[in-house]
Amino acid sequence: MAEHISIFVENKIGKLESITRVLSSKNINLRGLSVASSRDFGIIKILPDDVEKAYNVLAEEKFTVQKRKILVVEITDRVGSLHDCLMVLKDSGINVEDCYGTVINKTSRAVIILEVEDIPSAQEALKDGKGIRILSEKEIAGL
Amino acid sequence: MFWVRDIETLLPEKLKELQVSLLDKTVKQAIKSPFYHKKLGEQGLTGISSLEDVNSLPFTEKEDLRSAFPYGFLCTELKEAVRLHSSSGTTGNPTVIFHTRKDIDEWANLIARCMYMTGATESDVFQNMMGYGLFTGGLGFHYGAEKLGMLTIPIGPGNSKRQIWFMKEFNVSVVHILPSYALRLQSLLREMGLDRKRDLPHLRIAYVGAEPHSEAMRKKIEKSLDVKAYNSYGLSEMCGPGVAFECEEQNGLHLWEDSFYMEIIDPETGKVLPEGEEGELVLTTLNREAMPLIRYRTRDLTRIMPGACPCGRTHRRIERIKGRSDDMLIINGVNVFPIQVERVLMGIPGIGTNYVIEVKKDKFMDKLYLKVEVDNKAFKGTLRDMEILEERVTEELKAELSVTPKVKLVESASLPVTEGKAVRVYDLRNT
Ligand SMILES: [Zn+2]
Repeated sequence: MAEHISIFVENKIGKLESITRVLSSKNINLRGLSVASSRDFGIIKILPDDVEKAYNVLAEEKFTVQKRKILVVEITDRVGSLHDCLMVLKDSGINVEDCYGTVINKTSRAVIILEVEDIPSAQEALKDGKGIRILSEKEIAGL
Repeated sequence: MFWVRDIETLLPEKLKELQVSLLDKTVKQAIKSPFYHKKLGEQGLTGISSLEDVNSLPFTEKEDLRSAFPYGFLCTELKEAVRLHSSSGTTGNPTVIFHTRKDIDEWANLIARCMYMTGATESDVFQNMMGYGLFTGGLGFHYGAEKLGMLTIPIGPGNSKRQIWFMKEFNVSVVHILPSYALRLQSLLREMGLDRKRDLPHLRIAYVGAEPHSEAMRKKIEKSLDVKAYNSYGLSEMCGPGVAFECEEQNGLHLWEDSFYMEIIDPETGKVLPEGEEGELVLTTLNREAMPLIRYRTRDLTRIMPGACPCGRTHRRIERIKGRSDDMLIINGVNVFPIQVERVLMGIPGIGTNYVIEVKKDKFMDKLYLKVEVDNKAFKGTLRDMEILEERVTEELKAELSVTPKVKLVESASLPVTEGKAVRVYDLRNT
């Protein structure tokens, strides 16, 4: 099962940089990133090329981190394709907890990262979606 | 296990008789000091013949100790004193307490009695992580442990690697440790790649004191280190640790009534309160030679627990100290004790063990600010969970304190930690 990393941070100048600094110093690349914040704190989610290594590095540096299960889905990079994908999930009654995307330059494909409550059902629902393909862990690492 | 069965199980009436005679002796000894000579002399007091007479004795305050610095309370010749302890005063003179050889011996005996009560024996190996020196916590336990016959490692505080190395190499089974440090020990072990069960298989008892802490914090220490943690109470003015201590029941601290006479008073009026009511603990030493203290106001708030303890000891128990009257924060007229905050925080899953309380003025109103570390092991990874957690902390504190705090969740391991006493309260209203 694919995973990404969630980091709890205080809303302070330089917090995001402190994370990217740690990761780049260990040669870890980021495939995707999202930031959500509340009044005093926020959650940064990252999809690194090596999840296990990134998690260990951040934990060692005493960041408050957790791994979370995700679905990484490839869709056509065109208007409405994300909407189509989300509709499939909605129609199957699957709640999307978080979602962020990244575009693959070389191709006409986009990749979105989904956190959903019920991953097996989501996999099942997306299986037959038009122009939608769930990526394997190997494919994610190779992005 | 009874260190001195006769004394520890002395019938209440006999204990009272003993106290009357020791109180009388104490008054007669105290009058030898310049301070009490004047104070008791003014009232024509030369002794007492019943416990009711205690009411006519004046209180002694910390301020009296300061103003009589350095020798105003000394009842013996200086050559008979063998030790002094002193508490650091942030302003003015420090308080200085003198001991004769017999005072030190009585004190060591009391601590041996405390430790023996919790099941420590001469076969145990004891590591004393408390500060040695003018502070009484280190030396008090040191002498008590030797009196009991334990192999004693006088390591003092700090240097976690060395602490753990000694614990491992010498099969340490009993430690004396600050509660805040006890809570960190488990993660320090992990960082060193050690396993509590495998590498410290003998560890079984921790004495925690010096910092006020809640029952919830004790439970956390017991769980994380898999030890029995016993609460210790004392103050340097009485001798140091050894004044009151938990027995194996871990339900209240037996205050040694053959060595101290206790009263609970209303801190505002000075009136003695009936047994069971909460107020300020007032203590009179019963065996001290160099520096007896009469009706000393400890500023510690507690109550006497009515009823007998199943362990069989007749010395009455006090409840875990609720706070110090001078630790108390008054927030817009409401009394708040830092220990209440801790009790709430320890009961909420997802919250770590470190926190900081700040009180500031905001548009002429007092405002309570709280920085609370989250527990990285309980972090689930969603913003929503953290928002709910912050709300829960705010709501539970509001219910406990009747004051609405401004809570801020901070990253785990982000607040400063010290290897000494943890400073958690900052009153910034007058700065
Ligand atoms: Zn008992």
